[in-house]
Amino acid sequence: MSISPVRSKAQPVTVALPQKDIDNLDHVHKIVASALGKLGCGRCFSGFDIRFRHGDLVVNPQTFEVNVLG
Amino acid sequence: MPGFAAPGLGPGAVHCEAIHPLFLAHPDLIRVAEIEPSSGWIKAPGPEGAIRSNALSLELVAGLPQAKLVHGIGWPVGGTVCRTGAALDEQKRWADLLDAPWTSEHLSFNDSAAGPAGFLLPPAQSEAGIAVAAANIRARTAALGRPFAFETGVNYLAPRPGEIPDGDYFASVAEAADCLILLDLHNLWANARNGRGPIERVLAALPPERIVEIHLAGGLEKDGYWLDAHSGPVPPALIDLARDFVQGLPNLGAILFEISPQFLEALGPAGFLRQMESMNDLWEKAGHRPASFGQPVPRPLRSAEEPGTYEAALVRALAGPPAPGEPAAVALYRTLVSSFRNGALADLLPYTLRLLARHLGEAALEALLADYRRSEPPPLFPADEALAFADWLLANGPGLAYLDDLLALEGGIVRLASEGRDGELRFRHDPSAIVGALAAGGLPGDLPEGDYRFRLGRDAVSEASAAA
Repeated sequence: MSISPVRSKAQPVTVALPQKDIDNLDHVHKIVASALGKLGCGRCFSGFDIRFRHGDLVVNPQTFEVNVLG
Repeated sequence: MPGFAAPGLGPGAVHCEAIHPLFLAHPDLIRVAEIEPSSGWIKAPGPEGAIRSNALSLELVAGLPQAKLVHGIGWPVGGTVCRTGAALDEQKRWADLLDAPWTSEHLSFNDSAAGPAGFLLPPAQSEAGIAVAAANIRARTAALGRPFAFETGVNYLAPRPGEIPDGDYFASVAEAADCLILLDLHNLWANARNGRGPIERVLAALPPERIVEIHLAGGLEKDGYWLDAHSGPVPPALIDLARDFVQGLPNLGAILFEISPQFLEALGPAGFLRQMESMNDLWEKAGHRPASFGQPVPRPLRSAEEPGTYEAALVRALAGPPAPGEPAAVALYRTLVSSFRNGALADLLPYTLRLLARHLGEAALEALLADYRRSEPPPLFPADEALAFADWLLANGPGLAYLDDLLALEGGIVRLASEGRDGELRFRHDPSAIVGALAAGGLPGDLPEGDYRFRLGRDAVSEASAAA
């Protein structure tokens, strides 16, 4: 069994069968793959970081206003 | 470094995975790839956790058709607390494998006697500060085993009474360390726009023969400051200035465009390639007129500021709450540090933050994050930040339904990946149901309790970290 390499974020993640069925392993796969791709140091720049954005938590890159949607 | 003749590598860009296909498709337009190895590093938890590389990241960049340069971002050389150790060994390994003609790092500091800063901060521009930086650079050059260039940094602080002017400081460090210069023109452009004096004055003070590399980028305004945000195309006026300045640089080896992955989507592939055309145009102009070389210029180095004291004071100011009457730049730096720390959490604990946002709302979430930041110093690696926040949240956070499940999921993944081992994660509720509800814009309803588990099998991170 293996989880996807850091670079290959789109590859599936294989996990063992749970004691109780996890309904949608795709959600877990995506979280694992995404996390593995983001373990390194941040990139070189000295500006405002707009990663603090999750679909329902949005930073406008022009105004930097933060809004919680939904 | 008087004997170093930089190879003419040409125009290029800082590499990241999102634009990797463009590097492969346009080797004639993009002739240099600057690699930031630490973006592909994984660190075991804790202050002394071992650093290892993701060999797939190294393999990816080693296969690029471009010439490679290796650039550091977390181990700056401008301060009294200058990290050494395993990270530099890893940096050297990448530089050796990629055959980088020179390496570079920031003439800044990110650690101090008062603790880590969480950001690249401007060094003390004093006589003692020059000596500190020069000693650091000599040690770094020896550790990496190849020519070294420091990057001229951004400085949002107003000029302080008595400090050595920027250009004189950069030139003095270069001469004292006998090293090369990575001239970040956008940093200096930002400094000028933010009130540190004309960029032309800084450029006139630099020894042109030591400038081997130029960085160009775009920025944006926030709170009355022009930020080095790497957020888009290079301002046309800066291109014009660069076009004139590069003509007098006889030892220039590379001109590189930088853009943060966060802003790549907005620029788009076509926009990126247009920037590369600009870099090519600049490269054609470089070194076409004699530069005025000469002996080091006597400079009035009059500042007696003790670097360690300055560094600690600035870090303490940023770590504390806003103080009445504090300089606007200190408030700005505090905001930028916060955004970086929040960004690390957003990357690695996205659904945990989403759950908190849904329950608490924007203001309360930011207050919670601010409490956390004040209680925990900023670590260098995002995994350490995520794990510290997860621990802090379990001890100090609100008792929200399913928060423990999400921390077991997201924190557990980060911990196992950082430690490079397999392991089992356990939950009281189906984590996919929790994540699914959050992803759909809602909150999970009542979920049945159970013994949910999954096992991260063989650790591909560890596997990928095998020495390349």
